[in-house]
Amino acid sequence: MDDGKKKIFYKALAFTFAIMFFALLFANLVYDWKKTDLNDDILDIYNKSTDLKITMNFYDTMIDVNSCDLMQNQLIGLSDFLYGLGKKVNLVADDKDNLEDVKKIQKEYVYNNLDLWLRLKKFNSLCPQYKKNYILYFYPYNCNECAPLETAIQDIKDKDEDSIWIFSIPSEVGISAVDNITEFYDVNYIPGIVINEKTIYEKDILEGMYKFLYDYNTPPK
Amino acid sequence: MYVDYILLFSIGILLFFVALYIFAYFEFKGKKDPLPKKKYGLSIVVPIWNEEDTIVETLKHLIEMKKNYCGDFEVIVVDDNSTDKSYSLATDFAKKYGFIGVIKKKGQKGKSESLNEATQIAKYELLGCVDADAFPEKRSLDYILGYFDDKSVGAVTTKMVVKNPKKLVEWFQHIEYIFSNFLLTAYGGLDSIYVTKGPLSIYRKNLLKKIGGFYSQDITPTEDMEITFRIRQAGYKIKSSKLAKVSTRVMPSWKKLFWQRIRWNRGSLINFAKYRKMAFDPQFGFFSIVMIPIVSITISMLAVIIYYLITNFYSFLSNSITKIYWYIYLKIVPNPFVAVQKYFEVNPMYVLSSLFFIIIVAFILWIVAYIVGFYESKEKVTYKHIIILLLTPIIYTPAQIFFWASAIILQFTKYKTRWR
Repeated sequence: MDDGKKKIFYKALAFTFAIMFFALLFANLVYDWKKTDLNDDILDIYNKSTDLKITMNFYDTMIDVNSCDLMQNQLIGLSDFLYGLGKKVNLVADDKDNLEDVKKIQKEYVYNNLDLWLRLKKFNSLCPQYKKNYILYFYPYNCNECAPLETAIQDIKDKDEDSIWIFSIPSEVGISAVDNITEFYDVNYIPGIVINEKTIYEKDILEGMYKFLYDYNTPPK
Repeated sequence: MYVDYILLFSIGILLFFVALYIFAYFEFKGKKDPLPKKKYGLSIVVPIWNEEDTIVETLKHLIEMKKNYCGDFEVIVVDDNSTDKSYSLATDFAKKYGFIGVIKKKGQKGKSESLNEATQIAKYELLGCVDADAFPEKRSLDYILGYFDDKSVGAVTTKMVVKNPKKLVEWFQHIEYIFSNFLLTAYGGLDSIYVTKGPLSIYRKNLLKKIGGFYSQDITPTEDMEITFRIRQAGYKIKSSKLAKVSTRVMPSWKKLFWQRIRWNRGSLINFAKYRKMAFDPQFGFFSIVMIPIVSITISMLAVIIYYLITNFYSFLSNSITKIYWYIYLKIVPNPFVAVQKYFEVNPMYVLSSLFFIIIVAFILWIVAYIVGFYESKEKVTYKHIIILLLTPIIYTPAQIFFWASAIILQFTKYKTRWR
């Protein structure tokens, strides 16, 4: 092997090692960043969950005095808070290194959802003048069909943030209450959507969602 | 997960390969074709079998070549018992031009036997092989023959471009050939050419006789690659001309392309396995110390990449198709921003992050290689070229991987394929 070719060989080798080194360095940085971010997320979710529980307990004390105005103020933002929490839970669920933590968080999240949903139902019956729309969205993990449904829900949420409460509930976390509720509302296929006590079966899901929302309350401006 | 790391390693090897070619290209791109110090006698062999669509044009190109060449020159057309008008068309030319001769073989024995038969009756010291659907540029010989002044050169090969691509499949091959012209310059610089291309390559006749001529299809499906290994084994060099160029017809359908690539890829598997003993033998220089091992490793790496693509890319593809179906079924307009955001959010893989960096580097190298390929092929870049180039990694590269996977399976199952 002559010197010219040797030179090219070593140049290419050095180049490859340099690229691989920087690629791994880059990957390491991304991994560390994600890991730190993930740990922060898990802690954050626990804190938020506790926060939510306290707020809901506080809310319960007001139900006793039946003060609809005050209750409404407390309720604003609670749904959003839970919806954002759901997104974080899904992200954490995608990290396979934290399986045990993930299961706990998912269950906690589903309980929070159901708890808030029941409170909302109670609020709607006690304070009909402040009645809120709600969407119960049951979904499995790794679901291709869910992407368009999530787009539709997001779309509705973007249009009328305050008057619609969205409860995204993963259906495969082993909570029997979820099975009972889906059975009660006759949700025989997951992903499934229940809007204001009514289950949607239509093909044109977006139209169906609006129909049930409008029937229930005034349409969004 | 371990497959991810093997994939990363495989991509590292491929990256080294591409870097090697690009550095080699820039090191040797300035080298010019040497002018011949003497007039060489040249016999051009054109093996034909049912080539009535192209033989006339090929012979016209060879006549133009003869006009531009002042040395002894003859053309031997070897008809392998065509059932169309190929023989009579070639005979018409032979009657008109004294330097063209036509012979008809008795049995159908394939291309290798046609070339060997012509080698026996060829009058001159150099023997050129031209496919019946190849059209060499008229001044090609001026650029090729100078290499034979060096007694250690056994064969010289040339660059190829596709003649008038029309269909999509032809355009993909056109782009592929442009890339291969960049590779040829790099291989030439590294003294690592491992195939003397069928459309136009020139050999020393006595060397061909000495090493036993071209082997039949029973031994190798790619006789042009196989003979290159034997020429190297005999201690001769293979060179590539910088300026000589030949246009050629390519496979007009995916089906024909599939079977051609099965033959080529199986040929590569067979030849690299057959001459594995040349690997690391210092007497064959860079070719044996670096190229044979790396090409062999790359072929193995293909298996990993194929596995990875099947398990990851195609599941990604099927998921995307299902999602699109549901969007249409549910009449919902997708939100691309959410999709992109979600993709990056839910892929915290370590390997994927490394690949992301490597893919950016590979993309830059890929662009450089194609720019160089266009320059080497003397092809003007048109909007069609750019579109096909962008479609290549989406359509043609997966197709090539499929061809490789099929070739590996057919080779292991000993399925027999023939040239025609």
